[in-house]
Amino acid sequence: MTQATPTVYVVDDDVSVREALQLLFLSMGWRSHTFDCAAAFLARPRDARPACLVLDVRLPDLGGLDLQRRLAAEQLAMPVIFITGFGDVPMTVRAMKAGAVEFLIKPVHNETLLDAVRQAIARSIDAHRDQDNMRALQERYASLSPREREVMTLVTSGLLNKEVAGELGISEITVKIHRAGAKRKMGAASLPDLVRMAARLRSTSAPKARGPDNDWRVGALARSHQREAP
Amino acid sequence: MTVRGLDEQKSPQELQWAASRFDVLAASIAHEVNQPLTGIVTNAGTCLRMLDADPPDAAGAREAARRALRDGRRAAEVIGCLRALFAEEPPAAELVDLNDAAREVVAASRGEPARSCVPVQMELEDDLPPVAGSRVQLEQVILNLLRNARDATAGVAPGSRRVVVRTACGGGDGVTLSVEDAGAGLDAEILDRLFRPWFTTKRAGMGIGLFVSRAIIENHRGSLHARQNDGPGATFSFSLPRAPRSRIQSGRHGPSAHPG
Repeated sequence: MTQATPTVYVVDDDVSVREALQLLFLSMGWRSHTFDCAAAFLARPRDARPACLVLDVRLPDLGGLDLQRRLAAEQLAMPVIFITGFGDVPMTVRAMKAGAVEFLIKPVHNETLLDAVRQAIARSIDAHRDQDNMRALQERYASLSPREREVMTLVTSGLLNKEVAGELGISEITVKIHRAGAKRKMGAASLPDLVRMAARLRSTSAPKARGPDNDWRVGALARSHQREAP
Repeated sequence: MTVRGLDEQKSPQELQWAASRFDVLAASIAHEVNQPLTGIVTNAGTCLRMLDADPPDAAGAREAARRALRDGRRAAEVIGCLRALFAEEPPAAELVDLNDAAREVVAASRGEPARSCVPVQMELEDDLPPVAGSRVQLEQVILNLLRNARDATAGVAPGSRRVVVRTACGGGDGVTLSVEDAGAGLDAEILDRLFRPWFTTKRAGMGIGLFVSRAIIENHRGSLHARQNDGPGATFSFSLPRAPRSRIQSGRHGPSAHPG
């Protein structure tokens, strides 16, 4: 399968640095867009994928680390590489803890930077794939009826059909019907598979998908699970 | 930068200020030089990479080498400006007429293509008293302010573009030069950041930054300010004490022992 051309975004207020980096990335057959401040970058029309961001910590308007924080909040699959003429240990630690791929000091050896970009792009591809999978999962979950969701929640938390029936006040046969419906709509091959899917839907880092009613939220799945604590 | 004549008194506070300013200034210089240096290293590496390609990309390599040269020239400009800045010491100061300095700077900068489409108005006060200091350095400051003003104004509609250079006798014994633009203006945050050593302006090319400008003015015992206009745009100004009368009477050769 052919991969989409990687895009490297560069945010640095110095023109020499911006243009040199862009030329380097273009020479690799990648795409590259440059911005001279955080505001210009944040105003970009749309996100290419896969993509990564090469950024200086000191920008005219917003600190590079603040920008990194903003991007993390928006859950973009755009890993960050810092390249800066000014770096101290605390700053490096903060950047790396916040998930930066690398923290490089100018002037940077081209190969070092290219390695970091390759790593960042690989991360971006993985993140996009995970996001796509999660979105598909959430869409399938949203297609379940409310009762199917309730049954799925209880079944995947370890209850037997009989217990589920008792919990919900319905017959065991009805439980089996809803359970089969949920399994089919979720595309699960087995009960363990369904349990894995439920666990993924519960994870709090998942981006939220919309559903026909309020039960699409992961929280609903988690809360109904807590309801039947012994 | 704060080298003074031996006959001048130094207070303990003054020495401390000088030390910390040098610290900050050194960091600023390092940063200013490091940027084009990064460009050079990256571009040279890219040039080699393109030559090593199969087949070699000569056109790309040429572009990379050209950019490295441009970056090198940029770094040299920074060094050149700094040399001019540190070359002169106040004791060897000359008498400088700010009107003459302003006229020279405006005339010289007309040759800069990117900025020439913004006209500069001059409102210079007659019989402006001279100041004592380095003509080269003060002209650098005026040039910096002028470039900033023109850059700020370039984004504005052609009819409203305006940069005004004014000189005036200030309060007390001072002399003031201001550069007003009708550009986008400043907000409190930008004003605050403007004078930090590593705040660089948006454009390509350079000149001394505002941090160094202020350092020069303060070294001349003056002060540099920026403020938002009542209308659009901002005004940057500096004021300097007028040259002492003894200095004026004795001309270039330092204060004489007795007048007359």
